[in-house]
Amino acid sequence: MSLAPSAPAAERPSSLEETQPGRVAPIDRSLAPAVLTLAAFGALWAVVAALAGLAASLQSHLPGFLAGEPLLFGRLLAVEHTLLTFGWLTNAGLAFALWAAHRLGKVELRVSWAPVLGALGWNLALAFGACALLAGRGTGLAWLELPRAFGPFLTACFLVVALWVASAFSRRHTGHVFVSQWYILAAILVFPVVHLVSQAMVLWFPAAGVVQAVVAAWHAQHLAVLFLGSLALASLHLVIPKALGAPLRSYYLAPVGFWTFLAFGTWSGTASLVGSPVPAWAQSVGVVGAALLFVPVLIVSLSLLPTLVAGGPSGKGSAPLRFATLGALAFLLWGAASAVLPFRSVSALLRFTDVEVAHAALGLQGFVGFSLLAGLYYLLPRVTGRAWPSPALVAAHHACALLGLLGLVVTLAGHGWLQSSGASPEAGLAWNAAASLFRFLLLLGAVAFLLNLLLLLVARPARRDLAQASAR
Amino acid sequence: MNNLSLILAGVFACLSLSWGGVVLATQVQLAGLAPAAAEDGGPLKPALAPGLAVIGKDVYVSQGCQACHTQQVRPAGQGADIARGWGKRPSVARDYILQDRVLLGDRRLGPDLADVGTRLADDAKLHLHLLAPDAAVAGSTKSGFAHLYQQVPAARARNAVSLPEGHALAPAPGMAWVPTDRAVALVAYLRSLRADHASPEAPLPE
Amino acid sequence: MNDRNPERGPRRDGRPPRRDDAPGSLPPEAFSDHKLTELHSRLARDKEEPSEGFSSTPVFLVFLLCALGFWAGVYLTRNAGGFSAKTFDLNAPKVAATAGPKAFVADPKKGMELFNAQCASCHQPTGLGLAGVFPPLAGSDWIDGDNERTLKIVLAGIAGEMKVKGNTYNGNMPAIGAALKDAQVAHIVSYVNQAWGNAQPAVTDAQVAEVRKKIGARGQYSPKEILAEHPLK
Repeated sequence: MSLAPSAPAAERPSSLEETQPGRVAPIDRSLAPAVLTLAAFGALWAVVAALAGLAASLQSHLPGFLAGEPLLFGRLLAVEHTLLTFGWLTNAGLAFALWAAHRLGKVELRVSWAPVLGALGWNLALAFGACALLAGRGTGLAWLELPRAFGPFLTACFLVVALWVASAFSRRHTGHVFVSQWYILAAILVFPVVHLVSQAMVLWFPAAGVVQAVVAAWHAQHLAVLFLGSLALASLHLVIPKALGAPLRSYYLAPVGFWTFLAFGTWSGTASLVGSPVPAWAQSVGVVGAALLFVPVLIVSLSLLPTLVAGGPSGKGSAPLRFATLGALAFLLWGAASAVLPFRSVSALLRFTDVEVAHAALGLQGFVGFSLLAGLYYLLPRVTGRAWPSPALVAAHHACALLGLLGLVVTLAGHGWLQSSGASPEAGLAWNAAASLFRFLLLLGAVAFLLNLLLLLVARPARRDLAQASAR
Repeated sequence: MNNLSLILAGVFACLSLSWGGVVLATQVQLAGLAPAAAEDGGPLKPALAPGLAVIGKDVYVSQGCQACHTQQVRPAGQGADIARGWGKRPSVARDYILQDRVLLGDRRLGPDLADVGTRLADDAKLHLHLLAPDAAVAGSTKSGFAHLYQQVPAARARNAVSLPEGHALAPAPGMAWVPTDRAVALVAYLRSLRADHASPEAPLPE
Repeated sequence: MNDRNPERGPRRDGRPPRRDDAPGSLPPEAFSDHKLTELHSRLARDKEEPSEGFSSTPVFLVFLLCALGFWAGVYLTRNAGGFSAKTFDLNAPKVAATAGPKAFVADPKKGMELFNAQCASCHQPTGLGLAGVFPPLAGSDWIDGDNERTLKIVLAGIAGEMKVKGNTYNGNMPAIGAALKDAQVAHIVSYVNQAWGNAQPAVTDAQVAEVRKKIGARGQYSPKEILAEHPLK
């Protein structure tokens, strides 16, 4: 993107914000401390998670790379997963939820510093947690890796932030509740309830035998789909119409999409246990839930994608829209894969292979990650009152993220296919090496975003642009 | 859709329904499982693991073994686990009831370990797999765990792990690799992973 | 990417351009929050209006949901293994149901619970006993299939010097079984016979009643006395 030193005055149409800058700016200003803290930590964890993922990937084809404690393959993967989900995606999601809840409710955050406390607590605990994982204190269970002492504290910190989201909703000044608000409310309820219940049933008072695995699968699916996925959908539903300036297509179907997303998603947890020693009916319930989850995926996609297409190619120039497009496409692909993979005939071939890793990457880094990036790219300039300092870094981030994720998903899926055919592990080394290359691209993208965010934070603190705009 | 408590109640209802229908229902169904004899007069299985294996399980988790290894044998027709010799019968829920943490695993970069204790019923072999995987299986991509072993003068070495001639990890002259306490416990745990008994739900094939 | 792309000028419908990442200046929002909620509120109310050609979508959706619900029901009934806790593999051959009622079936779970409550303080939950104090039951040479001996010891107790697995113990075991019901003793002894690698046949409550009747009210056995009646195999 080339630099445009100053936009011609003719391109500045009047809007509510400009004619009445006082109505939105105070809201944004009151949110700045919390949103910026969350976003900065999120961007930082995204880089650390990408580093851990890259190191683990390199170890899978370069024997002896960083061998020995503490950087063992299994520990690096646990760090990567924890920091990706609880570090990057949750921070980004909370930042977006805070901002969207207050903006859509037209209320200011009453106590600007209060959610900052929760954010600091959450992220300090995560830093300690990552060290504990590297020291080998992890539990060995996906999505519950952190030692059990972290769970209650993290949930408390989450609630410190999330309660302000709920408060913004109950203090709102608007009549119509926009679809993004539903998804945000669902997300902030799902996380504490599901996380505490599952922690209790697996780590504090362990259920006997494979019930633990059922709880862990139920927990993982809720956090991935109903918590992070809801936040991502909230971001897509808000950013696309706002950045495009056009209403959502088929908006009247949004409630159907929302409730089917919840109703089917909540039953799809045991889809990841097909073939495992849990009763066959529980596996089948998961298969049905995962297959039916494609209904809301289709409904939501039929609303988002046509809106984007109708928005025309000019949407390409804007960072939020570019990431939102990627997020919406990844959502559709991820949903299709989720519906197909659990079926017994497919699972017999592909379960435990890297196809499942590719599917998870498509969901977490693709659908959730890109959608929340769209939200952050949209809201951060408004919260700081400044535009992104370096369009080059934005473009670099977009290119690296797109190429990196696309390549990673393809190479992981290719490797998984090879694994399912019973080839020797040696045959997969080239695929692993390619995956490392794409993970490096993802790391570059994460670094570009972090750099740009830091530049945005240290740039001259004047709210000059808005002041100029309102003076004009 | 304009009511906060209505939305929250709906979401909560969805969560509780699936919790009751999947989590609670399996808990109710499986809570009564106990060690059982497959036929009258047979031994009760599963049996409690020996103490060293319990310590070894902590080593297993802290070394991140579960990142690459599962502990579940899928039935024939749902994967080639049994055909590959990873177990004689599929795993069933009863096999796990005495484990304080169930590590089913979700990714296989290496073989399944539910029955590794019968497959590799030999401490020396297991130690070699851990110290120098490529010496145990040609072309293995498994990461080595040399940090669980130490070199001591050969004269004092008990249970030394012998490596093939010219291996990259060959100890200094006059020295030998011996397992640390952690490696001993880990191997005891691996030896304790056995599924060579019949279960009421999964008889051994004739 | 060129910001001065002609397509990116002001649009004919008066909507603002989308330049959210333009450097230097912060563009206005294309859609204010107010306009966003207002417009969508109207869209949500006007769902009947077929102006966008989507009117057939809800009908289609209802049919789709019905069809999928039907499929889900069929799939679940065919793939749930009768919702049984014991079906893990849908292709597994059915295990033949055992025919005929049984008077007494030793229940390992009850046996374990009773053992842990009544016996484990000395013999330990692991059945290994305590070296030099309490003799082991796991792998013990006294658990050799002669259930009458075991039942006598449990019902009447045993005191004196005895050899178990080559070690000498000088124990004093009270008549634990005297206060328990026949079925409870049967559960315990069956459990001991089959736990920790022991592999001896189970015991029924009828056998317990028989032995109880035979020994009557009596004091503890001495090891010599019981070995005279029931020598180790």
